[in-house]
Amino acid sequence: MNDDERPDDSALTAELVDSLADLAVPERPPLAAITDRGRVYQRRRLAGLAGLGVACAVTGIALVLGLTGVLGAAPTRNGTAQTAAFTLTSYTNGTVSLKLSQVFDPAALQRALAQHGTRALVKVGSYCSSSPAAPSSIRLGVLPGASPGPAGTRRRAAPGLGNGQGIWESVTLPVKPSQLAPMVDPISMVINPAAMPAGTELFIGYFDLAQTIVVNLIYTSSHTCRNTQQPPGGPP
Amino acid sequence: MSQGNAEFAEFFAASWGPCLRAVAASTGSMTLAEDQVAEAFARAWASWPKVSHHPAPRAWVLRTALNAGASAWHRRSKETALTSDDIAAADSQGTGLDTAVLTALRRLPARQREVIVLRVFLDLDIDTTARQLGIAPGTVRAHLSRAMTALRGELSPAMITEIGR
Repeated sequence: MNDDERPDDSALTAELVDSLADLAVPERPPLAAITDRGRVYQRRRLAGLAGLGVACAVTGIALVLGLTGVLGAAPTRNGTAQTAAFTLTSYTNGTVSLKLSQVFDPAALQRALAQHGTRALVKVGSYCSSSPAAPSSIRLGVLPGASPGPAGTRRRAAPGLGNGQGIWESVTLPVKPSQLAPMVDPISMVINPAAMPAGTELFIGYFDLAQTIVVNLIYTSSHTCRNTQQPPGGPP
Repeated sequence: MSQGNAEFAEFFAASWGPCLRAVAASTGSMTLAEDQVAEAFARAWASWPKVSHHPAPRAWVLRTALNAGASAWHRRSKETALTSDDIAAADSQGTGLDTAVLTALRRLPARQREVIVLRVFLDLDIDTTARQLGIAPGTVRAHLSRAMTALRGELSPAMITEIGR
């Protein structure tokens, strides 16, 4: 620590650090005790998400409809980009499926989306929006398989959220923390770039503190971004 | 043991002590800190594919532990009203942590204490600390400055010299 401290802070800092180093701590528990507790946590989380299963099944069906019924013939793969963090697959019907497995490199994902015909602005820890707001990506069918919620509400937007992870579109309804879970399982969404109006792009933001993904349409030439670890109106 | 489990085991072995010390200093209770940190490591294990790629995994554990502690503190505060001094005095006995330091830390506002824990105890840089807390780097600097000023006021020069011996 030396880039912002006052000269006389160094002694205090050193003393604080030394004091902490001298702190006697109980012996580290066996690794098995931690992993057992982790399994309990996983089971608790799965139990809490059991209620979401039906919703996920419904959205899964909607996803299939989005890919086959609504958008035409059953899609076939047209190209895939895969990294450790994400898999991007484009289909002959023009849709692109995105599967996020872990925290991603925003620049790499943005490049891959562009190569797959999707104009996007991808950020981690930054929220971007247009004022006035761009049209709803759900209503336009940019995220096929999801249907718009009641006016003035925030709703789970993308299908395939098997772990309760929040992917949100629009920005009005507060989200209860209990609706969210850590990003453990992959998150999937289907994007239909052809439904994006001219002059817009898809904003995809990951927020570490809230462990949430936000997907919004924004105007390419008129949007602002601000650094934050929590999307506006999102979970605490 | 899979590669992921081996990596977690290594992380757990190296990080248990630093994380527990930091949380104990922040919360003022070694007993509670031990439970909170164990819970945080358990969650880290459950989320290891994600946590292992976090820019600062120890900070993830710390935040999870402190968040768990905040809930526990909220529950406990409904049962028994204790002052920070009570907790410091009761829990610092035999831990080796100087009561004066503990009390001084506990008297800091929560955000300043978090900044001290991440910036000083975990030695994260300003930008990483800011990302962890979801605040601007300038705000981190402001909290840090105020916290250091307050600690300097709480701990006399003579006391600072004594601390850590």
